[in-house]
Order: sequence, then C-alpha cells, then structure tokens
Amino acid sequence: MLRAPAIWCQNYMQGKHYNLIFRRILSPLCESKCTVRQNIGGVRMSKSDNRHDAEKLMDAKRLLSGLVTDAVAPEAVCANLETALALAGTIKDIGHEAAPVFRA
Amino acid sequence: MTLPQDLADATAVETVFAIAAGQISARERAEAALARIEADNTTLNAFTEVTRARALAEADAVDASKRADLSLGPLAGVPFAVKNLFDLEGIKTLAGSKLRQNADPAPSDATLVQRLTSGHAVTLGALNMGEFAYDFTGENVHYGPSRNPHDPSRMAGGSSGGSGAAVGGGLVPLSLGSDTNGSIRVPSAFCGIFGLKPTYGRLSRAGTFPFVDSLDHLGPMARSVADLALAFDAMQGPDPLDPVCNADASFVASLQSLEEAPQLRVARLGGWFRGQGEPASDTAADKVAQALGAVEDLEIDGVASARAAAFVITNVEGAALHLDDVRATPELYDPFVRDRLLAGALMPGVHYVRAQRARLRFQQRMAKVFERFDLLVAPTTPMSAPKLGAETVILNGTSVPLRPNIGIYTQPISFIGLPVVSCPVWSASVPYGVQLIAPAWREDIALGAAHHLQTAGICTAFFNNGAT
Repeated sequence: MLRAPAIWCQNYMQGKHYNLIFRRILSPLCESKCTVRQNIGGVRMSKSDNRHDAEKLMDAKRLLSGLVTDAVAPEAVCANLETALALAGTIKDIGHEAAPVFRA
Repeated sequence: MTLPQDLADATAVETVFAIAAGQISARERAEAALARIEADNTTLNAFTEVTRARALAEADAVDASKRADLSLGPLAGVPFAVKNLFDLEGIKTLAGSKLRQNADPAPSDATLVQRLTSGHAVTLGALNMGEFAYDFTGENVHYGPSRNPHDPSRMAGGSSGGSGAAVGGGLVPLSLGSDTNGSIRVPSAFCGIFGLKPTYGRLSRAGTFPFVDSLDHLGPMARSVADLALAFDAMQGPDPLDPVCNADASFVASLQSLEEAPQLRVARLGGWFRGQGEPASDTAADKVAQALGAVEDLEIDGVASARAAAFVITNVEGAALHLDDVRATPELYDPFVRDRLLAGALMPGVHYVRAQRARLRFQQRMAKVFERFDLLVAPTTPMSAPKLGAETVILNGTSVPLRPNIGIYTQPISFIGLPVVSCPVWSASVPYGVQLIAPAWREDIALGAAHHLQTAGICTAFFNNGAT
C-alpha cells in the first residue's frame, strides 16, 4: 500500500499540471522518512527518526541545488507542499485584474 | 494623576501625564522598566537585547528638556521595545534568526522607531520573535520561546511573541510588532493585551527585515487602547523609503476620537469565523458583538479562498526572499522554517498569480460589506494559548496540525489589508482575542470601539499578577 505522500505524488503526476520538473523532484518522495520534533525546555530541535540530520540537510541542499535534479525531499517538505497545494487548489482563477493595494 | 504603586505598571498615557506634571522623572520611569525586565525577563524570555545605556540617555534627555522648559513630545518618557526585525542603530537586526548573527549592526533606526523617539519615547531594546516571522507560536529554536505572561508553560503567540510577552508581563507599556498573517493579533490574543494592525500601507516598514512584501504590516501593542492610539498617531505619515507606505493616506487623529461615540453599524462575522475551535473563543466574540450592538450574524463568501491565497502568497514570497540563503546555509535555519521555505520554492507560479488575483475579488466583496456596516467582529484565534511544544489542535472536531491553523481567523483579514484591533476578553482567567475589523484607512473606528469596550470593562488587559 502506498504511503500518503506517494499516493498524492501519483495523483499529482496524473493531473493536468504534471510536468517533467515536478516528476523529477517529487517522485523520490516515496523514499523519504519521517521527521520527529522534540521540544525540551523550550529549545526546539528537529531530527529524523531514522536518518541523520546531516543526511537530511544534504537532501535539502540537493533539492535546492537546481530544483531539477533527482533528490530526496524530506517528508516534512512534502507535507508542507501538499498542504499549500491543497489550499491553492481551492482558489478559483478570477481573471486578469490584480490590484492588491488599497488606495487612499 | 494617581499612578500605580510600582511605576513599571504605568501605562504610556499615565507615564506621559506624570512626567509632564513633574510627578516623576523619565529616568525614574525608565529605571522602573529596567528593574522589571531584570526581574521577569528570565521567565518570559521576551527581550533578546536590552539597550540600558540608550534608554537612560534618552530618558535623561527628556528630563533635561523638562527642566529647560522645552516642549516635550507626545510620548515623552514612555518606555518601548521592538520586535527584533526592527533596526535599532548599532544592534544586529536578528529577525529571530541565527543566520543574521553575522549581519552588520544597523546603521540607523527603523522609521517607526525614529518617529517614536522623535516623540521622546525611550528605547528599551529588541524583542524575541519567531524565526524570520514565519510562525504563529512565538517559539524560537535559536533563542528559546517567548513565554506567556499568564502561564509560562504556554505560548506567547507569534511571530511577535516577545512583543506580546513584554507588554502582557508589564516589562514595557508599549511594543511594536509586525503582522503578515496575524503576528500582532495572535500574540495580543494569547497574552491578553490590545494590538493594532493598521491598514496595509499606513505605516512605513522602512528599516525592518521583511517577510512577505505583499502582506507585511507593522503596528503597536499595549495594555490600553489609548496607548495604542498615542503610538499610532505618532507613527503615521508617508515615507519615501517604503514604496507601499501610502503618501495619500490622510492622518487619522485616533487618540482625539477615542471619546467620541458614533453610532456604529456592527456585524458579527459568522460562517468561517464561527464554531471552528474552542467555544470560549466564539463566546468572547459574541460578548463583544453584543456590547457593540451587532445587528446580525454575517456570513461572507470566499473567506476560505482568501485564507488559502494568503497561505500561498506567504509561502512563495517567503521562499523567494530566502532561497539563496537556504541554498547556501540550510543548517542555519530552524528545520521547520526551512521545510516551509523549501515547499514554497516548489510551488507552481500559477498558484501564486491566482492567489494575488483573489485579493482584488475579496477586497471588492468586503467593500460591499462595509457599505452596510462600519465594523465587523470576529474571534482572533480559534483557541487560547496552547502549551509550548504542542503539535496539534482540535478544529471542527478533528485533530489538525497546530501551526498552520492558529491564523485561520486572522489571515483572511490581513490578506486584504483591513485595519484591525485585537481586544482581550477573559474566560476563567484565560485570555481570548476578538478582532474589531474596520474599513480601509479607518483605524479610528476600530480604536474607538475598542476604547468603548475597555471603558465598559468588557475588554481588559490584566497584568500577570492579576492587577489591572
């Protein structure tokens, strides 16, 4: 059974916004591991439960090095992206106007 | 004027009057604040830098002016502190980060700091915050969390957590914060104080470290509405250094208008803004709405999309700002912040464009609402201050991640730049926040209504020792 990120990844790739760049970035997400957070005495640490921090950092660096290379995205990135894309999917395109600032 | 037994408890307005009347000196007031900081900051972790020498020099200058019978500024002798994304001359502007420990000290004060000190306010220092303002909790992996003055095991709220804790804990009567998605209003709610997020473009952001240019606002936080108005009036005005700061915006004399009691058409926002979180959050908003004579429960279309668009814009613009630094030194970032920024860097551009377009539609919709109403009432957050380190919250009966959901009631409003005052309402010794939302450029309406609520005893900022 596919884990949630993999299912989402598969669904995303079948969507109309699928493209090569995203396939190459997101497909390795299935290999990603869990992130666990500790909060001890107010000082916050984040560590992977079965991968070393340094390895996770390297994943992040690879992911960002060109945004097109094959890389493992930390699962937390996947979760954040999944949330943002889900919210973005609720925004209807309203046309060409854009006037974000109130005028006095 | 009768002053509190401990001078550190004096509000900004009380301080100004007492100094003008010669009851106290500015140095005495500054020393009282410094003593309070020394006593309580270890617990609250609100300050990252205390500018003792500067504060005493500025206080002495006020006293010298007083002795020389020179005119005093409107904020003469008022101690204040700023979120550490504001430039303070000679100090590194950390913006809550480890990364900026390598930055040069700021060459000058931020515009708003200059305006407060031009009014003879006294600068006490820089305040803790969430890393690069990308949080709602007030926690910080590098400097430790700002702690809630009413229960230090709980969050102060973010990202202006130190600003909320410092004012709620009585360290200073006035602080400045920034609000991109709720970062003034959330800590104001959690810490039981008043906070003003002015209209987008009202106050200059020059000399502050940015987060999301499309959504960044700055504003004051205080224990009384009069203090908010006093500071707000001193900070208004165009600034060529911030292209968003609207030169055409006419000055609003909010302090003078506090005592006016116009008949307001008030609505309580329902729909999205009702029933998502703790019942006490809704009860607080209902209590305020009733006190203001709200005539109906109003449901507005498109709020969910507005919130979603705010989320997307924040994610993408934040990522764009930090991409180079995240690439170069990801190890210097809080992993939680870094993961959000990485996600933002991967967002398709089409979503960002649609999110920006959605602002116009929602602005127009809200403009129609304000043809019928002068003021809207909604909860600030769906919950009271969570325990530090909490990961989840129950919304709509379902356990969801806490961090992305603290701002569900604040994001749709800052998304279109409306002015808001967050007012504290108490339920069983726990503070909740209620948003008073006014039309663009009408901060005076929100402040006037907040002042009425404070005078009526419905909204009150308690000290952590229980005294008002």
